[in-house]
Amino acid sequence: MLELKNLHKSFGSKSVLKGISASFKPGRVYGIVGENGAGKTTLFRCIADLLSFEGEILKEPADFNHHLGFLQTNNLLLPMMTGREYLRLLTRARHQTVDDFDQRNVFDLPLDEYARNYSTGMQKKLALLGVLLQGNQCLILDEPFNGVDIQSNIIIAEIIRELRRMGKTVLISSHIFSTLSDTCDEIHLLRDGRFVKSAGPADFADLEREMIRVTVGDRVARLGLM
Amino acid sequence: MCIGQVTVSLPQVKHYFQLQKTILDRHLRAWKILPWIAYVLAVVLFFGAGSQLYTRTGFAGYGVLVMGTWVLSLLSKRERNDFLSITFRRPVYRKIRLVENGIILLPFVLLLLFEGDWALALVQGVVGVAMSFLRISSSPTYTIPTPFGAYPFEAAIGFRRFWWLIGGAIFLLVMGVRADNMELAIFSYGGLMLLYLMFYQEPEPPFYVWIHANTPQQFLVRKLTVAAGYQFLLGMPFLATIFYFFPGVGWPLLIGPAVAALNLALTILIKYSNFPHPLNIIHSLALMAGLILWPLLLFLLPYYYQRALPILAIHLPGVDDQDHTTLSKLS
Repeated sequence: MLELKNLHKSFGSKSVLKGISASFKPGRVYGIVGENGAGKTTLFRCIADLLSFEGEILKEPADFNHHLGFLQTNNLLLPMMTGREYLRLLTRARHQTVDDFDQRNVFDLPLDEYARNYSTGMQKKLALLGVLLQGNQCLILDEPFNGVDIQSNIIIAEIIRELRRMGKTVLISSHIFSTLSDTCDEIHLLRDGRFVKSAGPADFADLEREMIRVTVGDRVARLGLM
Repeated sequence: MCIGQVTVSLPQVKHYFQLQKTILDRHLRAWKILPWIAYVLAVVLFFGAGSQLYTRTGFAGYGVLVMGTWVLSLLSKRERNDFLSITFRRPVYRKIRLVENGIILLPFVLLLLFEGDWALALVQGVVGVAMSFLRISSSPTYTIPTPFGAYPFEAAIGFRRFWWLIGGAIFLLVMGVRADNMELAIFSYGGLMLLYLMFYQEPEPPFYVWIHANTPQQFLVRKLTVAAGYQFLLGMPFLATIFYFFPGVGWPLLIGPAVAALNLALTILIKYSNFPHPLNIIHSLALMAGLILWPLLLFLLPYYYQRALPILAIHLPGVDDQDHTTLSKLS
C-alpha cells in the first residue's frame, strides 16, 4: 500500500509539488499525466526517497522500498558494462538469482554488447527488463513508452496488464494519453504541482478532452497559419 | 594564407588555455588550496616521486612512459575530442590538441631527459604527437571479455578501461623474471594493485546504490567482499609467479596482498563517506597516507567506515522509513 498525504516539494523558492494526496493500491495501474515540468518525475523521485519532501508518504510493508522498482526517464548506464552485467547487477542488488537472461530477454536485446552503445529505445527496454526481473511489488515507470518502437510498446502494455493481474501496484507517467488510457485503472492529471483531476476508465475520454482544451487552448490560432 | 590562419587561431588557442587554467584554479580553490601552492607542490612531488622510482628500479623509465601515456589517454577521449572538433575549426583544434599534449608531457619528458633516458624521452614525445590525433571511445563496439563480470561492476569496467595497463604490468613482470630482477617483478605487482584501487575511486550515479536492498553495513560488507575477492584473483598470478621464480622472497611478500586489501577497503570507505561527490584533496591525502604509513590504516579504516554509514543510509532505500519528512536526500 502506498499513500501520499499533502506532499510538497520545493527547489529553492520554486515550488514543484503543492500538496499531492493520493492512494495507490495493489493490483491497480495508475497513470500520471501532465505537461513537461508539471512535476511527474519529482513526484516519483519523492516516492522512491531519492528526494526530500514535506508531507507524508505511508508505505506498507516496512521494507516497501526494497520491493520498489524505478524505471527512470534517463537511464544512467555506466560505460563498458554489458546489458547482461547490468541485469545481473540489478537482480543481485535485490537478492534475486536469475540465470536465464537469454530466455527472459523478451525485447531481443544484444545482452553481450555494451549497454551504452544501445539506441535510446534499447536502453529503455534494458532498464525496464531490469526493473521487471527484480521481482518488485510496486513499479514506478517514468515514461516507459518514450523512444520505444511500436512493437515493443505493445509488449510493454501487455506486461503492465500482466503486472496488474499479479497484484502489483504500477505507477506510469506518459505524455501520450492513449498509452495510459489503454492500460490504467485510474489517471491523475498533474498540473502546476497538483492533481487537478482524477478519472476512472469511464471518464478517460472527458479527461483527454479536458487536457486538449487546456493544453492547446488558442495556441494554434495564435500561430496565424490561415 | 598560412600566416593568416596562425594569426586568427592563436587568440582562440590562447583563450582556450586561459579558460582551462581558470577552471583548474576554481577546482583548487574549491579544495581550499591556493593555486600557486598546488602548482609548486605538484612539480616537487612529481620530480621527487620520479627520482625515488629511479633509485628503486632500473626500469623506472618504462614506468614513467606508461604513466605519461595514461595521462594522455585521458585527453584523447572521443566525447571530449568530438566536442572540441565541433567547437573549433580544424587547424585550431589540431593546435589545441598538440599544445595540451605537449604541456602534459613536458614534465615526463624532462624527467626522462634528466635521468638520461634519451630514447624513452623521444618515444614519449612521438607518442604525445601521435595521441593528439587519436580519439579513444569510452564505449568501443567490441566487448572486451572480463573475468570479473559475474559480480559487476567496478572490477569489470576497470578491467575493460585499463586492460592495456594490466598488459603493461604483465610485461614488467615478464621482464623482471627474464632479467632475474625481483624488485621489478614486485614493482609490477605493486603497480597492478595501485591500478586496481583506481577502479573503485570514482563514485557511481546514486541510482546504483539505491537499487540495493541492503542496510549500509550489509552494502559495505558485500562491496568489500566482492572487491577483495577480485583483487585476489587479479593479483594471484603475479604473486604465484614471484614466489615461483624468486623463492628467496619468502613470507614478507604476503604483506603485499594484505596491505593492498586494506588500502582497497580504505578506498571504498572513503568513496562512500563522500558519496556521491568525487574525492577531494583531503581524501586523496588520506589514501596516500594509507599507502605510505600502513599503521595509520588502523585509524583511517574505522574512521571512514563510521563516516560512510550515515551517507549510505541516505542513499539506500528503506533504511530509515520512520521519518521521511526530516530526511535529507541528495539527488
